[in-house]
Amino acid sequence: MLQALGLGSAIAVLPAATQRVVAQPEPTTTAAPPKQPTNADFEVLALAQAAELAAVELYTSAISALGGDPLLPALIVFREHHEAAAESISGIGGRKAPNVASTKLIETVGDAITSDPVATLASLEHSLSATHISLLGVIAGTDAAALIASIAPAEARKAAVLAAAGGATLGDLIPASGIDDLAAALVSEDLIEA
Amino acid sequence: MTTTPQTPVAASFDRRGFLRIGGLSAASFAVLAACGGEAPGAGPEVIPQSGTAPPLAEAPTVTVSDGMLLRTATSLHYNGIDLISALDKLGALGVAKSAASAYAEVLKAQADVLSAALSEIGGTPFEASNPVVDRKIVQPALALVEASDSKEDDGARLVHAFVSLAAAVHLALVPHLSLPELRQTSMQIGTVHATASALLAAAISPDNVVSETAVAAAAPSATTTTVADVGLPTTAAAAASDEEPALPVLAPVEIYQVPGAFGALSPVQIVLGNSTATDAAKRVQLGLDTPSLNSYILDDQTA
Repeated sequence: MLQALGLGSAIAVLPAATQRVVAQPEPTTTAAPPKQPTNADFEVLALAQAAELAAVELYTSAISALGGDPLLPALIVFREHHEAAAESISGIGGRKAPNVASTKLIETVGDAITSDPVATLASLEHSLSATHISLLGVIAGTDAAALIASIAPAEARKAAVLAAAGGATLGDLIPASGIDDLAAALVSEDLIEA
Repeated sequence: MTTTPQTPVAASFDRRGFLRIGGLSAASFAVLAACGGEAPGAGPEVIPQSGTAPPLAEAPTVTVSDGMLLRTATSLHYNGIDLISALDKLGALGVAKSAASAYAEVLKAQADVLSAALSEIGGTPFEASNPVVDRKIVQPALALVEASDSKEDDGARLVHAFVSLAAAVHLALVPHLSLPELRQTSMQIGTVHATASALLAAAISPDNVVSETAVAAAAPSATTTTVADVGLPTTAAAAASDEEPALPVLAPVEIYQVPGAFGALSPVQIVLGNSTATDAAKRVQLGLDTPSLNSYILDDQTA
C-alpha cells in the first residue's frame, strides 16, 4: 500500500532509521528522530492537505444538500475542523505547502455526497483518518508526525458520530482486533490525477 | 503607684553604643567567613554529623526508549480492563455497560498488539497493569464511584474518561517514538480509542455532539443569543432562613462526542464522588494525566 502511495523517496528513509536503532547496544534504546519535516515529509504533507481541503468542499456540498437536518450545526463545525487541519499542515509546510484541494477526491465522492450526505461523510471521515495513520508510517520528522497523528483521532470521532446517526453500533465500528487495519486509507491515485 | 523612669530612645544610641555594635558586627562577619570554603560561595566540604548515616540513594539514569513507551502503553490497557471489571462488580457501568464490557475484550487485543510490536524491536512485554496509574488514578477514582450517590452515571463517565485518556496516551507517544512504523501502530490503536470515546460520550450525553461554543464560532448567524433579564442589583436584605446554606455541588464535566479539531493531550477532567459527603468521599474534580517519567514502565521493570 505504501508503494501505491507513490512515496518511494519517503520510504527510503526507513532503512536508515531502522539501522540506527538496531545498532544500539540496548535492544530497545531509542535514537532521536529528526524534528523538522524532511523533503520527503513535505510530499506526504501535501497529500494530507489535499485530502483535508477536498473534505472542506465536500462538507459544503453536504451542508447545502441537508437543509434543516438536526446534524447541520455539527457538520458546519466538522467543516471548520478540516479547514483547521489544512491550515495547520500549511503552517508546518510553509511555502512548500501547495494549499490545493484534491479535485479527484471531490469528483469521486461528489455524486454520493448529494444523494446520501451523512453516510458518505461517515465513510469519508473513516477514510481520512486511515489515510493519516497510513501516512504516519512514512513520515520521518516528529513535528509533522505529531500534527498528522493529532488530526486522525478527531476524524475517527466524526466517522463514529456520522455512522451512528445511520444506525451503526460500537460492534460495527470497533474492530475486534483493536486496531484500524487501514483498509479504508486513500492512496495517492485517489487524490492526485495521474 | 510607682512610675518607671522612661529613658528617651535617642539616649540609648550614644557614641559608645555604636562602637559596641560595630565591634560585634565585625566579630560576626569573621565567624561567618570562617565557615565558608576556599571557593567563592562554597560551603563546608563535609557536613558535620554524628553516628553513621546511610549512603544517599542515587536516582537511576534512565533513557526513555521505544520499549519503555510501548510497555507503558501496554500496561494502561490492563488498567482499563481492571477498571471496567471493578466498575461492573460495583454495578456502576450504567449506560456504558454493554459498550464497556465489549471494549474490555478490545483492550486485551490492543495490549497483545503492543506486546507483539515490542517483541519485534527486541523488548520484553509487560503484561500487567501500571502500578502508578493504578495507585494514583484507578483506585482513588473507584473509591469515589463506590461512595457516589450517582454511581451509575459516575461509573459510565469514568470509563469514558479512561478510554479518552488511552486515546490521548497513544497520541502523546507519537513524537517520542523513534520509528515511523511504531508511531503508526500507536495511532492505529489510538484512533480506535477515540472512536470508542465518541460512542461512550454518545451513550452518556446523546445531544452533545460538539460544544455550543464551537457551533457559535463556526456559524455565528446560525445561533441565537439569549440575554437573561437579571434586573438591577439590590441591596435589600435576604430573607432570613434557619436552614443551613446548601453546599455547592460540582456539576459533571460536559463531555462531547467530537470535542475538537485535533486529538487532545490535556488531562481528562471528571467529577466523581458523593454530593452530600463532606469527608474524603465528597464530590471532587479529577484530572487524569497521561503517563510521564514517574509512571513509565522501565525496560527492566517486572510486573
